[in-house]
Amino acid sequence: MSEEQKLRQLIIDWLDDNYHFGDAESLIDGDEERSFLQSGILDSLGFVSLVLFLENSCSVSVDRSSLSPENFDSLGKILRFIIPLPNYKLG
Amino acid sequence: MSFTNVEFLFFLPVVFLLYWGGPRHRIYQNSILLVASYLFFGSWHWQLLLLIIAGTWMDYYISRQFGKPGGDENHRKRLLIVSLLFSLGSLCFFKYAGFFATAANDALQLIGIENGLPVLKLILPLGISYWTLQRVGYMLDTYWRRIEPANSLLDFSLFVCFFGQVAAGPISRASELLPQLQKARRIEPHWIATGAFAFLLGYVLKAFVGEMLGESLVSRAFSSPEIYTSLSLWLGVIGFAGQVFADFAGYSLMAIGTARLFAIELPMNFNVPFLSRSLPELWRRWHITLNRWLFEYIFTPLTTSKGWFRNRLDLGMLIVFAASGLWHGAAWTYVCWGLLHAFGMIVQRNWDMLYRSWCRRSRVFVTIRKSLPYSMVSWFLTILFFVLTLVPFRAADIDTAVGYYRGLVDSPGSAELAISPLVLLAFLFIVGMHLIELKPLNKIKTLFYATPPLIRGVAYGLAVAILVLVVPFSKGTFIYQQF
Amino acid sequence: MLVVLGMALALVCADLTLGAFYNVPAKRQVRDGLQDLQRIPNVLVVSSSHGRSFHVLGDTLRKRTDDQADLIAVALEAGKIDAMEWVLHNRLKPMILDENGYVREPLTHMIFGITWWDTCREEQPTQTAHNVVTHGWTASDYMENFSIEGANELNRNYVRNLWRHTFSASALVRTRFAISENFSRFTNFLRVMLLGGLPDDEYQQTLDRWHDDIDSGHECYLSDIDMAALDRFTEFTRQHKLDFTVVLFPLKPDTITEVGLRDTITPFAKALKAYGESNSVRVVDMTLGILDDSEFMLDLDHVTPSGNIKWSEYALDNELQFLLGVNSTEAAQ
Repeated sequence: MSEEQKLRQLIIDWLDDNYHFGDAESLIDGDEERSFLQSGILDSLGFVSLVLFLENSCSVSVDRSSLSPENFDSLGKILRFIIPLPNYKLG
Repeated sequence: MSFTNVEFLFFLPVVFLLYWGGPRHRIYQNSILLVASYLFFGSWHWQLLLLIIAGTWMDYYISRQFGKPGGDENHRKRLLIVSLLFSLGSLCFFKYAGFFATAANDALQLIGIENGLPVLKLILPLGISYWTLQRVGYMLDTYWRRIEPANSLLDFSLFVCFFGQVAAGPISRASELLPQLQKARRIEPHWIATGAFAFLLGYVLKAFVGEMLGESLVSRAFSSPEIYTSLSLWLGVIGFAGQVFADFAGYSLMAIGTARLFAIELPMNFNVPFLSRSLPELWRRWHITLNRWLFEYIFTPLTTSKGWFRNRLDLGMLIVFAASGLWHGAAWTYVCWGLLHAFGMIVQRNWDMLYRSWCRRSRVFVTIRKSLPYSMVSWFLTILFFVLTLVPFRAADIDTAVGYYRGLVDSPGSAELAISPLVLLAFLFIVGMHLIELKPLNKIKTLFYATPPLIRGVAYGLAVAILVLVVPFSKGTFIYQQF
Repeated sequence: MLVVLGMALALVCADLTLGAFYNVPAKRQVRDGLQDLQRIPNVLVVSSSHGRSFHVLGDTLRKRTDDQADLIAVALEAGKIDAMEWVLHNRLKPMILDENGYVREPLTHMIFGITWWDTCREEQPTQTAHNVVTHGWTASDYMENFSIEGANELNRNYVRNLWRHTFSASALVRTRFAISENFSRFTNFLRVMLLGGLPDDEYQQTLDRWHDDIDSGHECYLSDIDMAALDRFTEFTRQHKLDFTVVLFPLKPDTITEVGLRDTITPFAKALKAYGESNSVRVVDMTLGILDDSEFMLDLDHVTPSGNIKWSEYALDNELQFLLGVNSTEAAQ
């Protein structure tokens, strides 16, 4: 499994665990760029929880300037943003 | 002047013709809109234009400094503090000076000092609560280097004071609005059609639905709750939920519609909020632009910070909703309203966490959560909670609010509020607006849009004709403009 | 594009259909009076909305004298002497006086048509009356006020009237204003249109309001502001040697209770008579006894077309008979 696939699964599991109870995959519906906020997959509260979760589980630190929907509003955006961060390490 | 004032019927066409009649050039278009915006703002109190212009110039200069590569972090921080002190300082001065002076005097009185502080009675600059937040959002975005600062004072001045939104939002993100203002706009039929439609729908909501509910139910019930039966008091507060929605969602739609006539898209402010099945959902659908601002610039930075606040989500929510309450008005009733919602959100979050733990144990709970009865119950509780919290929101003071709550359970009064056919129509309008967004009924909308354009045009024309006859020029005050 | 076309089509059709179905009678306002004053009459009437009845009086007078005597009526909606005096001073004077300040020929008579209500000033003394803003102001009055105070509820009256005037060709717009003025509510308008009249209880409600108003009229009438304005009016006519008559205009008998008659109507007429005697002004009391209930409109205030003709004929046969001779040499002296 590639890094990207691992992180993807981690996020899906987190969404399932906390919000969608097994429906996360079907909500994303194959569209990696689907907006979390607009499609109701995540709200502002969930957004914060997800950022905190990713910081903890990937050993990264998200800068203020990066804390915006541009980096976190879809599965694709998160993957592209998190993996290149320094110190990124899953687990 | 406001969108429902008769002056606007002259103002809008003139600005429209000047805007599209001249060269299709950014500088020309923005100049027309800026002059119109200053005139619009100045028609309330031109003296306070200086406040907005001074703030605009200062923030423009400071944000340019933020944009420079490198730069001393401490210097940047100092500049940010100056900017925030000015923006939030003037907001506090105009909006809260009276409130805090009164509160301080009450406290001083307890220790025997009478009238220790002078209580100023100030005119509130039009829309200060809205454009202050929009500007602060821009300053933080440029400070955190999330966006490039505006490179033209003209564009930025218009961003701060565009007449479509200066009075009562929607509060735009800089990343949404500035890029639109930084290039020339072209007239296209869809802008005009969707703009006119949004404007008309908003007008009906605000001038007919809102005023109808307000006059026939709300002002009566809240002015003397003691004379009405419990049932009538319920009607009064439910009517108020409808009134606030119609009034503000209507105004927002008119703002969005007005902006579209100039080929500018403003963010949506209401998304059928009465369909919400949880409080977080409600706040994603109700006054969207304010709530996302509060979450983006207060909640998220606090709870994801490296310090003590990290991960203290409940406390974060308490702060956000207390701020929201205070933002709505400098009065204890609003603070009380905000705290009630913070409490509601905290209960909801903890309930959700508890429920998730059950879901992890058994899939049965997932099935229950997705069932219709669960949806119905959570919808009912959400709306009931929202409606009940509106009592302090509307009541003149805490005592009246408490009296109203008592009356809802057991009222000494015997008078009944009558539902006239027009009040019923107003209610049905709101219900219809919500139901049409539900999946089974959404087809009606699709069907309507599939009819030949000529027929649709005729339908719009007839609607306008009825409006001309029925809807009065606004007499009432706009609830959300006073915030 | 087609949508816009359909929309325009529907609007025009709706406008034409409504125009054919319900023709809103044009209401005479200050604007019309000023237009008529392009010619100088023998008699100039200044009045509240009852000036519309005086307009019919003018028609009758011209007919009876073979156009030898002419009367022009200026009707200011919502009346009040102070407001009417504003119109006289600011709008009429420049038209009826020549460059040397003399009254233009052949104007010799002035009539002031009022009821007790016109002496009850509502606004704060420092504020311009709302009907002056609506019907008396010009664009420059508005701009001057706007530049100082911005847009507000008071000067908005001017813009609203401008809007109404600009679109007066549209039956939709005319009807819209007629509804708000004559029926107060859209549903009442529908009832009158479809069922031919208001139900009894609605009529009774309006009547009750009138009873209350007139019964308590003595609390506000003969206000200092309005009486001072009457003084200025009288002074103006004296200065320019104009024959001056104050007419107390008819009221609907039904609206006057015993209490109203005793406390408001009679003392008011008495006070005006006394004013007339001490200031050498002719005061003609036509409040009661000329028109009956059926000759008043649904608002219980204004007179029906047939009532106007009846009143005009009566007036020229009796108290206002002298108008028939205003153009004779005798009267001119």
